[in-house]
Amino acid sequence: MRVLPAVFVSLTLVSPQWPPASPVRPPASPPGQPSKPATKSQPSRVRSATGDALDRYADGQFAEAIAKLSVLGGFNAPQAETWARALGPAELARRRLLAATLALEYTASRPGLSPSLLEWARDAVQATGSAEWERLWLRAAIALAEGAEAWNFLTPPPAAASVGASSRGAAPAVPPPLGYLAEARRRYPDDPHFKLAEAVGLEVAASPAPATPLSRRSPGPVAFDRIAGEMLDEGHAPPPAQAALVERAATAFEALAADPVVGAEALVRLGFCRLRLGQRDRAVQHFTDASRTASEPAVGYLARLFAGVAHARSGRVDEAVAAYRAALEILPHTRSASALLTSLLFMHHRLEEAEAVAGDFLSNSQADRDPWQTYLLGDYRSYSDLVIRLREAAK
Amino acid sequence: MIGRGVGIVMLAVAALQGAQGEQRPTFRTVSELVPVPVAVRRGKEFVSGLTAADFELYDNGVRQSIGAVSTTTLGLDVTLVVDTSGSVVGSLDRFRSDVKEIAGMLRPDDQVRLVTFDTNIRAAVPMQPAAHRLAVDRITSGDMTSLVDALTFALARTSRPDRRHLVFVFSDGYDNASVMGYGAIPELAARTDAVLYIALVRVSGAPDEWPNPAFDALARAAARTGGTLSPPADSTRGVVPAFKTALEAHRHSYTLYYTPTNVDRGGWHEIVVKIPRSGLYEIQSRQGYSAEKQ
Repeated sequence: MRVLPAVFVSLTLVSPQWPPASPVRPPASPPGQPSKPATKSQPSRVRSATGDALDRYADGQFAEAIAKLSVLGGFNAPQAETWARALGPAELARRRLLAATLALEYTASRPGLSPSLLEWARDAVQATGSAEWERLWLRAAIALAEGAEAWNFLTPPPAAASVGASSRGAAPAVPPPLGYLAEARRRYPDDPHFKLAEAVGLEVAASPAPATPLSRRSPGPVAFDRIAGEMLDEGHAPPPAQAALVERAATAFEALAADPVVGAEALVRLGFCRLRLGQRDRAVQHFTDASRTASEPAVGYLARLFAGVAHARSGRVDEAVAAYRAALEILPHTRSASALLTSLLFMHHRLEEAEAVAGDFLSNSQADRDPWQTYLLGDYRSYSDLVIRLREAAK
Repeated sequence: MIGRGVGIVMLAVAALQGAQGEQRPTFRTVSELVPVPVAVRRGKEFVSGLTAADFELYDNGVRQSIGAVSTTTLGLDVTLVVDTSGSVVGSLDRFRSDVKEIAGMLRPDDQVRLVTFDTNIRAAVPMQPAAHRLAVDRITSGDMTSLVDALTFALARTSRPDRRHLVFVFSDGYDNASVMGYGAIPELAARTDAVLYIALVRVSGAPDEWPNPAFDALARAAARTGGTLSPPADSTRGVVPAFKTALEAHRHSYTLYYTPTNVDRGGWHEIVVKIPRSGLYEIQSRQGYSAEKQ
């Protein structure tokens, strides 16, 4: 079956965005009141826009805190540091984690990510001295950057390696040394999540650039168009240079395949690399192995979805149908498996079955929960859970 | 057995006898009878009163014997597939009023359903009698565009023996969120009994990319079913005129029936319908169908 893909353009990484769309604003003064540095005589609740927002955040009013920052001029890092120190050393680490988490959530709520704010938050959470918190925060920040396809946050531009972060001084002439992933790998070289993120970076680099320019996208990351069509299009094998990148990504995933934490996902991604390289039987084996070990529904779903694609490409229609149906047993009424199954049945003149699948989907479709939508966004699907864990840790 | 796919009726007309009987047909089982809806125009007028003797029908280049011609107007099952993505958000009020107007053109025994698509795809209104109020307020704006997947779901409907399925699409045609590629649609169109009409709408700020491969695929799909694609330039007054034209074609159409003879059963069957007698006729019919290989 030959399927023309949506418009694909040549391979590029998502270009770094600098200056950021929503940089940290200069210190904002409340109306009629000049901004003052925190002193020991100040009350525990520091009166500043960011301080008020952090008070709300600490009280569990998360959405209100973010909304307040949006209305009152943005997240002010010095005010946040003042707020963190206001209750003394005993509370400093916990309040820094709260501030760093709010900073993360605030920039996630804005169009574009703020490098300087994230730099500050990363330093703040590192200053807590808790490796557990730092790893959790880094994972959330990496997931967010993956979700925004902001790879400049994950890999520092080589030319900027020696330039300081903008939060520490005047705006730099070149982008600051972002690269939470590189930093995370350096500090925690054995963390499987960071290893997996690094391999996903290779996989994304080996994937078609989005057909829809990122600048035209609405908030709410989805990466459909980077693999749309390619999944079904036998003739859309990557060109040699890209294939070499896919092979590199496959090697990286292979090294993680036995990991007890991320092994199942690594197997799914390894299988998808093999599928893209036309190695369908090897791909099916990886998907089968992943299906056995995956505990996360999204990973189990993808293992079966991609197995269906591999079988369909090999002309094993019944096996493909069974695989798609197995995916839908894990996440019923999900679009990717429903569409692929409908199409496959349709193409093979099994229209009554196709109608049943289509009708079931149209009546019960679930928005925004298709793991395929976020496949090329790495760990982004975990972002919300990670933020909740950060909030819990800071209680 | 060719298969249950496109164009094959297992229940077919008995009371047609090669003439255009206006009476409701009775049905008897006839295997491998292929129905071919045909609308004939001369100038702007639809031509009536034609019989089997007026038509020539070719299946993969082999002339076929037309067993029957019906002018009975079948009940319509209309699927309105409406783009609600961010790029057409400025057109949604127009879409709502167009959908309402279109529903008003249908007859009491017709049925209609409303499928909306953006990042999500759903049956906003399941198939219901046309006389019922259509909840156009369920047309609400979304984000990205899943046109091809929406078409896949909309076209996947088996033929009902006494009804015709008409799929009518409102969209700017720019898909950025489907699992399926554009190229799937002509293949699926070859396997459905539905007649597909696509009315593209021009959205402000969109580059003038007509024609392009994506739109070509959509046009090819519509043509295969006997429908049409209206390019954006023809849709500036809304999509109602395009639907009205489609409805008129249906109301004035003939259905030719034939049993494929001296052709391979499986694969693509290209259908060509001609009217050999003098006169300039414009014939609108499905271009063929895909049958299951033995």
